[in-house]
Amino acid sequence: MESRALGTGLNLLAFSPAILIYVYTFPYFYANINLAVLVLIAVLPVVKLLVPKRYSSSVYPVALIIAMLLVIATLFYLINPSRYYYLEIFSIPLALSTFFAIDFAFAFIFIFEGLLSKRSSRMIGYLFLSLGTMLYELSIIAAMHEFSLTFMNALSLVFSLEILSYYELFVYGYQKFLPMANFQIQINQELLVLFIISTIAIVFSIYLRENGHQRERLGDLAYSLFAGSIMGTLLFAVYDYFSYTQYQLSIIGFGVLATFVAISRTSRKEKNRKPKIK
Amino acid sequence: MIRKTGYIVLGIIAGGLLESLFIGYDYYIVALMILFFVAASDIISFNTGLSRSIRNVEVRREIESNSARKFQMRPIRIFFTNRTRKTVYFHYYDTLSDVFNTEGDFQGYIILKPGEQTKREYSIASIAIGKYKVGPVIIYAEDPMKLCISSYTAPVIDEMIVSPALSDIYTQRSERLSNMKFTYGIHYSQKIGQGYNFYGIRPYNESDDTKYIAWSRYGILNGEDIYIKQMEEERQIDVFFVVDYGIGMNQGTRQKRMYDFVIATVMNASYSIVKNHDGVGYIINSSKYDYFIPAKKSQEPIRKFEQTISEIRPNGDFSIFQTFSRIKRDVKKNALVFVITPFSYPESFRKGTRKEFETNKKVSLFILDPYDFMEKRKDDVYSALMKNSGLKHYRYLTALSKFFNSIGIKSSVSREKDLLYRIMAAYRYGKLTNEGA
Repeated sequence: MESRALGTGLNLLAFSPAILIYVYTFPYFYANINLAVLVLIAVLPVVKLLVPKRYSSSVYPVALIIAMLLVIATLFYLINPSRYYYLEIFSIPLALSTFFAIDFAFAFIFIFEGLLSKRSSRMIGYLFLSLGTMLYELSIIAAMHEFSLTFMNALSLVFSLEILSYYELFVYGYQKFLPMANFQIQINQELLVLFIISTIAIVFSIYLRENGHQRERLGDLAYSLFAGSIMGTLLFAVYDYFSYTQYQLSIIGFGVLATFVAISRTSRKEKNRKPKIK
Repeated sequence: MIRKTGYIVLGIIAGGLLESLFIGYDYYIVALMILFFVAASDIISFNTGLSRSIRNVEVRREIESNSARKFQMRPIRIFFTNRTRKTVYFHYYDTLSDVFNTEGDFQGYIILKPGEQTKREYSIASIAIGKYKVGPVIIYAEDPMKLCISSYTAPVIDEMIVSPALSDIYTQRSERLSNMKFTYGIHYSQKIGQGYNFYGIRPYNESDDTKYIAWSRYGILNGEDIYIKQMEEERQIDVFFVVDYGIGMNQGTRQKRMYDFVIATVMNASYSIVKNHDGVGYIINSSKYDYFIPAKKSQEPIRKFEQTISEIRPNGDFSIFQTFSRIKRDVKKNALVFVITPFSYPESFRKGTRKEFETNKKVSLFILDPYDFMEKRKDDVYSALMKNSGLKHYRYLTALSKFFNSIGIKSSVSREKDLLYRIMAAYRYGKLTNEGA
């Protein structure tokens, strides 16, 4: 069984792209974030660590209930301020700064929980959730640098392009105007290296965890790494070649589906005959 | 077969791949595609390789002897041979009943090169009598990323027959003086007739043998009256033990089982009785078993009894009515009959009349209180609950005992510490009053 320190170290390596993006984008968004909301939400995982263990699983549900009540109070106040004037102290500002604060706070929570996660599956889930939020912020920064725009203009551009690409996806089957696919990212090279490190860290995290590892199986793991890398790269090359056609996403879909079918076919349970007494 | 973890990991990665496609960042898409296919390759290569190879591992078990006494260690060897052309890695464990204490490598991890054979040794000792299975051997293997597992049941099963421990049947040993404590001083009966011990005197009849005239009492009343000595004769009796071997006897904890204790007690009583020159016989009764061992004044019935119960375990239902019918039908000679049962079938029991329990034999019913076989814990609440439950059950058994006493069947509620004493006291009383002669 690997130690807790090794597990946290692997988590850190796996989360390195998300951490870099967070650190890189935060200064750009700092002026447009409601810090109070950010701190109130981001402090939740720390609170979860500090409360007695039997209450730790209740921290997030309680926080969610409080947040929902605050939203309801805010809505009531906004609908009829003269009647619900006493709800003014509970209302939260429904502005972009609040939404960015929530976005960054959630990303912080996903990274924090992912770093401390003991299960590989949970760690991977938190990683994808944090990257999902952070990469949109990165695309806004990229738009600012690409077209020398202000923050709000870059934000409008990116959201418009996103909506347009979803329209293309559902109507035509491809996505042409994705910001992250078309804009120059300042930290592209660093992210390339970190994604490689993250992928390897995830694989070894799964290998080393889940009830111990066997050194003699490293050869089998290396085979899986090699075969998986070849197949993943090939499929990406095909996907890239068929960009801007209606088959772009279908190719990925077929590839994934074929893999699941292959897994299912080879996983057929063999029947064991009932053994007889000698 | 994919584990739950495998499904979760694949599902999360597939979801992440979809997210990456919506975001459109190339490095993210490539990373996730590679991750997805690494996990998939791991699963597919395991399913087509090691998962199939473990089914060609030959397993063979060697046991020194299939019979043992309780607590006696028996060594076991398991041989694994790799009949494939690939190296196999697998875990194994030998399936054993919880009555066995084990020492050694009954489970472990093995790496076998093509054609290689390896041996694993361990020992088992049973803590209860009966017949138990050893095996089958389960082999299971996992992929390097622990996303899949494949198991194979090697059809290698043996049976172990466990007879009582010599320490349990201590009365078998002749040199212990304490084994004589139950039968000391009871070598007489009140049967009036020619014998070897003086009993009393009575007036002389013409048919009496003159060698028994009590000359010291001649003419004691009227000068010419003659009296004859009455001698008594020791009579040998047979004792039948009727043992309830239904599932109700399978009570107790891992360390102390009711049927185990009852068998040891019955055998101890039997050896004492046989050494006292009386005969013992047995009826082992339930809906699954119906064994009758005729009474003999030797250790042969005891050995047959030991052999029989070593090959079975309590099973089926016990019916007091059918048992009494069996006693009436099969116990030909007038004998002492001791019925031992915990009466663990209150739903099917109904109060009957004297006629239904008529056997024409001297029957003593020993109702076993299961309180001593309950699990004991240090928890106060549990202890209080068990005490109350035990007390309630004891009252029920006492009421049952009263009913049987009322219809002429001697009955008592016995505990673990006094069952042997009660049996021997009943035997002693029967010997003294010549009930089974």
